Amino acid sequence: MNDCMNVEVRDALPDLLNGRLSALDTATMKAHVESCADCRAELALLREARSNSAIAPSIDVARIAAALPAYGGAEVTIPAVRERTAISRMWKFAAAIVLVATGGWLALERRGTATSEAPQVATAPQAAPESSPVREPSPSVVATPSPETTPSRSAADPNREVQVASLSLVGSTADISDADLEHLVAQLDAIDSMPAHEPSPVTITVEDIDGESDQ
Amino acid sequence: MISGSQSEDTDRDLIERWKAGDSRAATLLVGRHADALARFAVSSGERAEIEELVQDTFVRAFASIDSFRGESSLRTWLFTIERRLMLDRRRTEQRQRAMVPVEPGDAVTEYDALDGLVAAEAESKVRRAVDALSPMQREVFTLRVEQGMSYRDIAEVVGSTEGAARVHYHNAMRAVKESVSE
Repeated sequence: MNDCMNVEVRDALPDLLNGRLSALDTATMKAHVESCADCRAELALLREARSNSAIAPSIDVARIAAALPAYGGAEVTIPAVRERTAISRMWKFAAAIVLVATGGWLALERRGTATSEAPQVATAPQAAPESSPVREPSPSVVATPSPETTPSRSAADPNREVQVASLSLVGSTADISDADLEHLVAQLDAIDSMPAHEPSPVTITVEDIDGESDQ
Repeated sequence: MISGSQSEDTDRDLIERWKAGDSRAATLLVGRHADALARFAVSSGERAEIEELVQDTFVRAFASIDSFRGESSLRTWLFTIERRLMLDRRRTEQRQRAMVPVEPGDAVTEYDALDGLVAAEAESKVRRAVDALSPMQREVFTLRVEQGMSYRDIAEVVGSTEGAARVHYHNAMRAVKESVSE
């Protein structure tokens, strides 16, 4: 089956089939179709497609009408698919941030406990810097020291800085690699108990996180 | 305005009457568009709970009737809502399918009785060709040929552009022709 070269006419064949053209356009189209074998064949194909359309079950109009809400009742939001997808991703991202912030807070909490046990935190004495080198902790991830390097409270040198034996996730989400974030989002995706409704937007400012890290 | 009315009132008139408390206007609107919505659902591949889908479409539409600005026809708006509900349904089904192993009896639905008819009808070469189209092509083809919608309205329903809808239609038409010619 070939295509008629007149794209405009081919475009309008479904309109002719469904009687959506003006009387003048209908007459013009019919004249063309009569003289064009390709358009005749295409129109026949369209007619067959329409007559062979899937059978739908009969609908109980009265039942549906009875189920309709009263005007002015509770409004039902019709979500836009694209927007909702975007919102969903934003929500997941926000949830990931909250998760990270919570983890960071817990880590800080643990750190706070550790430091409260050793309130006398001081920098290493300048007189002997080589004997107790103070390592500049990374603002985001502090390496977990091995037990033998971790000073205890009963250590002989109380001035030695207490090393933090935990993973700190303070700082920003820039510390998380894309792969880790994707993994986190995938895990969130797998959670079944997600609320049916979108939550209110969660805003976490950098200051909040920084504020926590300063504590 | 799309034809098929049961009264001389336009959809707009009926909406206003319903807002004023005339419940018969709502019945007329449902009667005017329900079958088209059911056909579109089945053509789009829905097999179960078609009436529930149509009802949900109307409930959502009527509950948000003030957001219908009348820039398109009511039917186009209803199709848009129904399509979104179908997408939601498929997403939920995919999630459930990923978690729950499907048993042979699970697929039995009230609509299975009609499946025999649909299967017999699907013997048609044209029907098979349409069924073999991609979901987007099938939706556009169905809206254009079976519903007689303009590209502009189709674009609104499927969330695309008029030009893209036209391209989808012609690609679908070409695929159907090739399939039938084989």
